[in-house]
Amino acid sequence: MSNLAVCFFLSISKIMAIDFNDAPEGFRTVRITGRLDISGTDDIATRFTALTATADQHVMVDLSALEFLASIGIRAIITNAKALQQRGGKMVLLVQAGSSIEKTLTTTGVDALIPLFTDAAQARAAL
Amino acid sequence: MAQTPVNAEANAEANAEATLHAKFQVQATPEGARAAAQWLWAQAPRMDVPRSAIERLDICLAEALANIISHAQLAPSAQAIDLNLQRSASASSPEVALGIWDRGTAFDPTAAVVRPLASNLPDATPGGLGLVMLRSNADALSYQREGGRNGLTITVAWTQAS
Repeated sequence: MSNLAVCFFLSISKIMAIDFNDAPEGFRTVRITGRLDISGTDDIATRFTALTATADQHVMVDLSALEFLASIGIRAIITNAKALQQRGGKMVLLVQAGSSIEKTLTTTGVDALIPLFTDAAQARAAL
Repeated sequence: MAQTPVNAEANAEANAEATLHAKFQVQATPEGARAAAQWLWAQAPRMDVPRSAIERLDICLAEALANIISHAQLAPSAQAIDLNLQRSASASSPEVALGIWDRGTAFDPTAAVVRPLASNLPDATPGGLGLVMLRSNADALSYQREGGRNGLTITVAWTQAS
């Protein structure tokens, strides 16, 4: 057991945020940061649904700065992806390569339902 | 302040024991789940658990608590969930065990059958993902039913960093 001169601890962020921008090419990027656990998903669910529902056509969901993704967060993503598809739009997901988020989405098989990218340019090209 | 050798040893032992075990209690609510995660991220580093292992525990904890919150049918007076974190003393095969005890109806996450996710979006019903995430992030899972409580123990192991 090491003697630590400085005791460190890691804290989790309490701030959930969702914002968006609409690209001239016609797709919307919805960026979600913070912790997508039960509380976090509750916090942004309505806004996330609205942003997906009012997008012109396609949506890139940017999770590259997301800290944590629980199954309830995945559920919200899938629900919105389905609704978007029913309107003729497409959703893609952007994640940070090697992140826990990426691993979760591949392990659960979500990447077979909604295309997953670690590169923003490739994600845009897929829309 | 000067300490006698006996006191210093006792303090060192107490500190060593304290950093091998931690306990907490939360309510079975979304806020409780958030508090549980904060406790994990505060305690596990003090036990020399590496970040990647804490991330896996974080996922397991969140999914186990989500199951309890959704399915355990807890009575209003029985919302408390007991958590404990136990670091193994072994330096050569380090691991940490997270225990989660609730007073809900019997549910064994290790025995539940999980249907695979659909292969196309229109057919996808995103249920059961939590169990997939729990099972894939834990190195071992064990369940016991004792005294009207469900006890789930999640073990995460890692190799000593080079």
